[in-house]
Formats: sequence, structure tokens, C-alpha cells
Amino acid sequence: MPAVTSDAKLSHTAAIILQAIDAGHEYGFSVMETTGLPSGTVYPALRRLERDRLIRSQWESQRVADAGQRPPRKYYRITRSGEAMIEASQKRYPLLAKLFPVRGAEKP
Amino acid sequence: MTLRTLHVAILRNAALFVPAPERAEWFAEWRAELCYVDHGATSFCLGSFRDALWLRHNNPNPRPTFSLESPWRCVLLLAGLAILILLLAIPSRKLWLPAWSPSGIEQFALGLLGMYLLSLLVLLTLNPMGLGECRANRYAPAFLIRLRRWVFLTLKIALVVPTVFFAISIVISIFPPASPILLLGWIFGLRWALADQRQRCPVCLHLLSYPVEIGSPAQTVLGWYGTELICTRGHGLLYVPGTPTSWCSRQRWQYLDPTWSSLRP
Repeated sequence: MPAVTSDAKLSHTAAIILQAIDAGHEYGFSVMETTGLPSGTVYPALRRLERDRLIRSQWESQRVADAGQRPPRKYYRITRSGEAMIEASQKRYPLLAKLFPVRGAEKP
Repeated sequence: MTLRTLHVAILRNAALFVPAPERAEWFAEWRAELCYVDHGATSFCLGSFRDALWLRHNNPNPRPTFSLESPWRCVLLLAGLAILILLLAIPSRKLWLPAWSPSGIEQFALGLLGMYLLSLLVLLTLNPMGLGECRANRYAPAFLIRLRRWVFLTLKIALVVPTVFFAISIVISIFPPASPILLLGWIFGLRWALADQRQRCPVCLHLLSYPVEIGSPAQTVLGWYGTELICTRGHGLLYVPGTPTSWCSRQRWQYLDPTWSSLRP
């Protein structure tokens, strides 16, 4: 697992997306709606964050999806490294925390 | 066709760029997300191409591709190409096959030899023919290993020359006459053979890799600048000058001593 230090590098866009996930917007379209970023930016950023183990993905169970009469979604959650990275990125981008202040607002 | 079908079709097309092992999961995620998009679904789906291309470019297990890195592969590819071109040139054999008489064959051979020497002469004026300096030190390989380098170069030229000849015979059969094309073809073929040889390790004959730019053109007067390449098997380093100067006009190969063996895979 890559070590996360306070001077770790994260682009502004990636930091916004990470912060949005931490605030409870745990699937791609929700991140898109919250951040206003296009799908062509959000999804590759999610892949990159997952590759760097800052987030992890998990498919919703078929039973839950069937109950809601919709296809199962892929949820993204912050890892420990991701949490450390959020702290580091908030030092780098101080206004970030004000964008998504409520943590766990849309947890399923 | 409904808009929904169009959107799914866009996603299916984008999925073709995703590496096969991840394709099903990738498509399932995008299709599930599409169910929640109530406006701007087309631009949402078009964004999937960027995602798919990102996955393709960052695939940790890329499909092995046929490269000329290995000398055997290079020779095999050239031989295969020569055979293929020969087969394609057979229908136009009347143009290149000499009349079956001693004087006809002699004339044909002399013509080819003359053209070949002329192309070498033109190449000599256009491009330096040397393969660079390869100063022997105590770590230099045995004579037979060094000889392989020349055998490999001869083999490449021996395969490139007939390939170009037959390829141009095909061109002549469509756009006659074209003896200058043959000359140009051989010049380019020989130039490629020499350029390829310069980029190979003189010991294992594999292509060198990891080019690193060192210095800048401003250093030309007081120091060396250029590109450094390395043999991944740890045989040595190649220094290619950015601008040829009086003290460093040609590329220079440096054999490495065994302490560098940790570089070997």
C-alpha cells in the first residue's frame, strides 16, 4: 500500500472527488451531480483513486437492488490511506472542506 | 431506435476499448449509472469513451505485442515480409525475371549490382555509415560474440534488399517505369538496417531502451549533451551526442563491468 504523507500530491479534481466520496456521495453519478464534473472526468479519476488504494469499490447486493427495482450499483468508499490523503489535501486546498462539510449525508 | 437503445449502443462501443477481463464489470457499472441519468444522457455516455481509454492505457497486464526488440524476432519478421512480398510479386514476374539466357542473367545481375552500389554511394553522402564507437575494454565480449553483430547486420541487409526489390516490382507493374523508386527504396532500406543496428546492444543484439536526455544544447561548447540508452540485460550504455562535435562526433558504446549485473532481469 502506498504511504501517504502530508506532502503527498493529489490534483485538485481528484481531491474534490475524494472529498465528495467522503461526504457520502458514494457512486459515480452522485459524485458527478455534486461536483458538477463531467462523466469523462469523474470515472477515470475514480479508477485512478482506486488503483492508488485511496478508495475501494464494492457492488451492491442483488437483493437490495431488486428491492429497489433497479440494477445493482457500484459503491466507492474511502480507505485508511484515503482518509490520510483527505487530511493532507485539506491542508493543500483549505477551501475543500467547506465544499462538502457534511460527512455521511447520503450513506445508503 | 429509441434514445435508450442509442445510449446503450454508445456504451457497448466504448466497452470495446476496455481490456477484456474488465469489460463486463465496466459495462455493468456504466449501464447501472445510466438508469439514474434523467437529462444529458448522451453526453454522459460519451464520457464513457474517456474512461474506457483510460483503462486501456493503464492496463496492468497489456497484451503482448510483436516487437522488433529481440534479434530473432527482427530476422523472423523480415524473412516473413520477404516471403509475403515475393508471393505477391509472382504475378508480375515477367517484369523482374531475366530472360533465361547467360547474357540475360548477366545483364540482370550487373544491373542489380550497379543499382545496389549506387544506393550505397547515395546513402554514404546522405548519412554516416558508421555504427558508432565500440571501444574494447577488459569487459568486452569475445571475438565470436562481437562477430554476431556483423552477421546480424548482413542478414538484415540480405533480407531488406530482396524485399524492397520485389515490393518495387509490384509498384512497377502498376505504375511503370520506376527505376528511381528502386534506388530510393534501397536507400531507405539500407538506412533503416543501419539505424536499427545502431540502436542495438553489440553483445545481445536486443534493442536498447530507457532513453534519457542528458544536458542541454547550451552545453555544446563546454560539455557533452545527448541521449543515454541502456541495455536491459546489463551489457552496457550507449551515449548518442545531441549535436556531433569534433570531440564527440559519433555515438559511443560503453561495456559495463560485472558490478552492474544487478540491472539484469
